[in-house]
Amino acid sequence: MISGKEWLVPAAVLAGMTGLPTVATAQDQQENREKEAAVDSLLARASVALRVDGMSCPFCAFGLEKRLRELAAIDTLVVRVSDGLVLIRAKEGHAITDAELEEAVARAGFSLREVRRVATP
Amino acid sequence: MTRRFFILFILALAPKPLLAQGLPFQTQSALTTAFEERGFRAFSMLQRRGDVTVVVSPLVVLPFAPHQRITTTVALPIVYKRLSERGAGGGVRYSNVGFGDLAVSAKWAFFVRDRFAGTTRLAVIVSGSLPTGPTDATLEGGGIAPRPLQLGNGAVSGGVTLVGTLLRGSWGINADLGHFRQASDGGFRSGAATRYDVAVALRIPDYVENIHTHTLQLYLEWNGTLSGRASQDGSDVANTGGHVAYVSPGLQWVVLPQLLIEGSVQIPVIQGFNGIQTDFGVRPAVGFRFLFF
Repeated sequence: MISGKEWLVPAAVLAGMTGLPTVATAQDQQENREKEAAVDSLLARASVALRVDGMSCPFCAFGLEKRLRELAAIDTLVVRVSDGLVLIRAKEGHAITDAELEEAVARAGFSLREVRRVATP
Repeated sequence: MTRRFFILFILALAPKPLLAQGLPFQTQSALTTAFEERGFRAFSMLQRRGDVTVVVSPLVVLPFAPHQRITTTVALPIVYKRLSERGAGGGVRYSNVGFGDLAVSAKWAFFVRDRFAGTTRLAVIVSGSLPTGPTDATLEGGGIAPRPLQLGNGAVSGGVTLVGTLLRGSWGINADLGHFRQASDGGFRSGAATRYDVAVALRIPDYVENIHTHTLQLYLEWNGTLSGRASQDGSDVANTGGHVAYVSPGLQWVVLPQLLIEGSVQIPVIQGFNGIQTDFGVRPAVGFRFLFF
């Protein structure tokens, strides 16, 4: 009953996991460009904004928010999941260092690609 | 029949690049993100095999993550087992309910490559269970109940699983391959088992604005287990072990940022037993996952 051929399915999937193509279609690339443009627009209005790689669901984002809220200097924050973006406002008179942000994102299991700060009036 | 399901399964994996979401019901995930810490998962699974009905309800706690690439779990199942009278309208010949074996596991993601709205990860899971469940239940007429009716396995078991997760936007795939062995209990030893799973996932909607967005995840899993023959005092036990595989459609609904409700139905498609054994029935399961802030 066990022909052995069944092994081909999981073996092929596991073997190909890291090498699976990240090829995007032209439409995908266009959508990505539009999303990136939207992110840039949001970034322009933030006091501190993080670009975070690896997020893909609200459950993931909740974990990230959980970690960031452990930083005492954070007043409010918004996680934009599909944009890979976190917008932060620090408490008055408090500062958040890049190192603190990087550590919080890493502890949440994600990768911090960029920290962008905008001088507020 | 079996060949047709394999063809359908492979076709299901074929279209476009294989991109995905995480957290399938049965298949392991290589994610070690913060939602795997300070969390709680509970579900109930109904299993029927001939006259034996089993309801397993593991309470899984995700206590802590000592490192961003390591998570741990502790699981204690509540087990209900029932042996029915043969024939239509038969009553209950035997039933038993209580805690099963305590299980622990640790997951280490040794390869992580994050990207915009996606990730590629490989992890290894070391798991084991302790013989904390009772194995001395007796039948009504006296005498120890047979092993399949006991709540515990009676022996330490452990295994190692390799897991891969690939997420790209609203699509994802998870796959795992694990090997498990059990120690001897009174000269009896269950056969070593190799488990393999693949889960393809689709998240709806495609665009998730923030953590309050309600999303639905659709899953199609393939869950297979190859078991060797059990042995008694070093000799193989006939009519044990074989290859069992299920196709498991399932769905998850993220109701709140910290609450997820899930359901799955495992439909047996391969029951390649050694010798003569009773077939497994369909296995429905429902549950939830909750994250403590």
